[in-house]
Amino acid sequence: MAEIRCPMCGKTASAELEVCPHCQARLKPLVISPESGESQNKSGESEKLPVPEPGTEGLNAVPAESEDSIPGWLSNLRDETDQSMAESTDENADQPLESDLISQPTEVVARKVTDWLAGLDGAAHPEEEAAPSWLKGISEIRSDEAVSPANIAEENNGMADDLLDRLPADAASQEQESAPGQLPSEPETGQYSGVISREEDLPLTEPEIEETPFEDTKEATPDWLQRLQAEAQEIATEEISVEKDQAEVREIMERDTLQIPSPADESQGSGSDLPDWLQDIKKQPSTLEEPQASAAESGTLDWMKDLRVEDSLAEDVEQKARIDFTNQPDFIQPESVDEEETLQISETGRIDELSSKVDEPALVVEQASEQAAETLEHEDLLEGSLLETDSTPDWLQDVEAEESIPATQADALPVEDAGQELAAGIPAMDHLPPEDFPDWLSDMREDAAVLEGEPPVEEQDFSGVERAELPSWVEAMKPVESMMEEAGIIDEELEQVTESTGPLAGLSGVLPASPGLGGLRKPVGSSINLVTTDNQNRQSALLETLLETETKAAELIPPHQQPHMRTLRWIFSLVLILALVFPMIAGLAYVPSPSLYPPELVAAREQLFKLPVGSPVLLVFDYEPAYSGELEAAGSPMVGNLLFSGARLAILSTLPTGPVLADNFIATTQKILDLQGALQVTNLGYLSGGASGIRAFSNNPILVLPEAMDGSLPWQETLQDVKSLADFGALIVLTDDPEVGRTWIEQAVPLLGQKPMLMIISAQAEPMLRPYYESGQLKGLVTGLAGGKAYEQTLALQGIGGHYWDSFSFGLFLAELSLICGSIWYIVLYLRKQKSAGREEE
Amino acid sequence: MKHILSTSIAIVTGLIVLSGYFIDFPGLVDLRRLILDWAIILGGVLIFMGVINLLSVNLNRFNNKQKGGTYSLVLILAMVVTLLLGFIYRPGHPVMNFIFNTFQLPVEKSLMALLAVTLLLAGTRLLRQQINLFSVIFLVTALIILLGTVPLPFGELPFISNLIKPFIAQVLAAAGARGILLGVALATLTTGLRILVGVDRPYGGK
Repeated sequence: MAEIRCPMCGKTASAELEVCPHCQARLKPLVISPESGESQNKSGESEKLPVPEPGTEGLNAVPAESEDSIPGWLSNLRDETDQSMAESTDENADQPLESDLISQPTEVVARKVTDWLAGLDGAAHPEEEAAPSWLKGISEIRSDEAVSPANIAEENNGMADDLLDRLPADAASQEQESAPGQLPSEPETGQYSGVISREEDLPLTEPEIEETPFEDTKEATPDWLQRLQAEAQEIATEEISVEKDQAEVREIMERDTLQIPSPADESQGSGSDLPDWLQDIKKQPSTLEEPQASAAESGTLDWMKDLRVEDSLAEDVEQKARIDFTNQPDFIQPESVDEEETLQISETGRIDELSSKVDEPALVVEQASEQAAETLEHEDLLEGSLLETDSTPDWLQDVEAEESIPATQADALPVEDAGQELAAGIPAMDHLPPEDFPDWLSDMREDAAVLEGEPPVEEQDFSGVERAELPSWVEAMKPVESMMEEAGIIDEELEQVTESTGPLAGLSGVLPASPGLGGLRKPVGSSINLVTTDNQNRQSALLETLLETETKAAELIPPHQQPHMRTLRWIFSLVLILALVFPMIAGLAYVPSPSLYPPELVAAREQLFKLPVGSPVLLVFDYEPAYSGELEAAGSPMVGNLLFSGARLAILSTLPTGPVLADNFIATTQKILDLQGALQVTNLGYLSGGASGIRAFSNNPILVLPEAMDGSLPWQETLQDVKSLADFGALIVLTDDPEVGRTWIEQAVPLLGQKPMLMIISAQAEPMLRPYYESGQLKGLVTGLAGGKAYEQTLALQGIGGHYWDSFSFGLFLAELSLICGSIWYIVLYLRKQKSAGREEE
Repeated sequence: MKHILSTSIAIVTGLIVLSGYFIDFPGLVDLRRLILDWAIILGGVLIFMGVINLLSVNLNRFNNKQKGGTYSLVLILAMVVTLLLGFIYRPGHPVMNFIFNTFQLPVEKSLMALLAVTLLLAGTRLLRQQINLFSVIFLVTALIILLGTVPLPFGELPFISNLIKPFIAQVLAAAGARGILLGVALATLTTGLRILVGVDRPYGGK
């Protein structure tokens, strides 16, 4: 037995069965014969089986119990429609999403129109035999035609006509509301039926607005049309009440679209078989051609045309938005489906409200009634022209042309923005001159402005709806942002404020124009504490220990003191003391004087000889008391020479003990040289400030040391001719410190001019100060006791140098001898140790 | 703020004094001299402050009964007596010279003599601790200089006095001394520049 697969539930069933035993769905679709318009085969002998598509289940999802009640011709019509939709879906399956979004609205409109008519036919004629001939013709025409772009365009023309039809109908209904019990201005039911059909195209509209015309025209309306009206009202009420379920709403919407016939399709049929009210539907668009011409004179219908275009655009955008987001996965849809549905509802509500407000004025209703009356008068003339699509009036073609352009723009623009602009209608009306606005339209603008401030429609509660389970491959296609939201990760870029002004308005993530892209906050301070491990700490402690051992001096092990060494020390001390003291006490002159004079000493002596008699000489006593013996012996011959020459001495010292040492020096020299008479010596005392003091004194000695040590004023007495350092005949520095000598050379020599600078120095300072003599900065140099002895010898004087000379010679000789003996002794001891060590090794 | 002020004063003062050496502008020279006078006065004040610091340290040591507190007491008494006598008699008075010549001068001379004997003994025992090349060179150099400088009781050693000692003292030692002087000059120049630009702040500050 052959089996077929149920297109609904996918389970297998016997091929002879017409209804699936599992889901009660029809297994063999009904096909309408192109010639007769009746069902070709009820037993499943159709030439083309409907191909179930994933996206078409909703369209075919008719309850099983209602399927049985539908007559055969209507089932065939539905199946054919489904088939055409399946074909169109196959054609669009390979197209990208964008093209699909663009092409779907027109197709859906075609389906809506066709199915509406099917539902209308089914509701009016429950039995197939009762279908009128004109309706059969419609079915035949529909079965002959495939859903093609040309037909869709024609159907869109019909939709444009419906837009115009809705205007007077709404106006009449509004008038009926304002004046209850009054008959409508246009008793023709055909217009109202057209309005009903068009209004049902719009989902979630307010059905009570359209109820009034039906109630008033109930007598002129056929029974099947009344049932249709009731059914439409029920559907509309059901849509509003079941708003919380999106899937159901979508299904109801699609079911409604299947039941709404297209007036354009009706226009394709013969006009002779149509009833009067249906002929009016066909005639009215064309009959509006004449009022349009008259309206061009008055300038009234221009803005109405704009309003119609805007209404149609709003509907297209609304339908696009609905189709775009209903058949797409959740992540492709906007922020949430609830918000989108709410937005559609609110926008639709605005459009309807605005449409109703446009229809409010009685003037418009009267004009529409007059136009309808004129249409009836020229019915015969215009009927033939309606059958041809080329007979579309010019103004309607303009409307179509304008409609096509904004449609693409609406696709490019965000749906919400386009819908809001079209619903408000403000931009279009703003193009009109204010004087052309009628009063009621001005009121409408005010009302539109008020509508913008209205609170949004409450969001629908979809909490009861289960979340759809997407396939894995669709989940894999999810954007990263949606995954971050699900994971609870907050993306900072998503939280950025959307630009509200300027050319970048509407864009998010725009860099701020204000300075400080990174923010002007204080940088986070980081701790400077060094984080170390235990191993690193141990290594650091080891390094510190090594450094400490390097800086510490090695501990000397005190040698074992032997008794004979103590005796030796005492012997050595006595010999040394005797060698130093005995020559002085005995007054020996055993040691010969130096035969050669050092050149620096000769130069110093020559400088002193060059000094004029009685010239001022500055003596600087910058040595410590410990070196006073050496420097007194070295300097006393030169100072005595100066005193002999009658020089005026000015004594100065940069050391606190210097002035006292100078007094002792002068006194000792005077005593040894046996100088009699008053000496012209001025002790200026202590000069503070180090190098700065030397420089300052060199610049202005009177200012720095205005008084002498004894309180006298030397610059007004003995030194009255001295105003600066260069006024001294010579500068003689007695020092034991090379640093002090260098300071005096550096600070004073530049200010001495051509005057000589001489130095009497200790023997230990000679190596450091001799270069200044060799460089010419020092004109003479007397070094140590030997220099003093030599200078005394040049003067043929017996001074301090000669007194110490023998003691000095014997003492140094003993020192040299001790050094030699001690070194030899310890070398011998070392060699003995080495020799004993060698013997022990052997 | 305090560091900035002190650094600024030091830099400006240094630049004025330094420029006064190179630019013979009367106002600048006078300003340089004025600053130098201030430096001299401050130097004298620093000596006085040093004396006060010495008194304070030794007084604290005596009060705390630390080791050597008795010597601190002697130092304090001597300083106070000398200071009072100085205020009374002035520094050039014979009483003040007597104090100096009786106490300070012999002490310092004795210390120098002990130093000479100590150095001699150290030199004699130098090879006792260690015998190496540098120890031998040190001893030989010292002996040559002593033999060449000091006239021996039996006369001069011609070779050492006329040839070796002058070569060591005037070539080797002078070369080393000039190298040291050049290093000192460069160090002084660098130190002056560092103080002028504020890198070194011997007057305080981090």
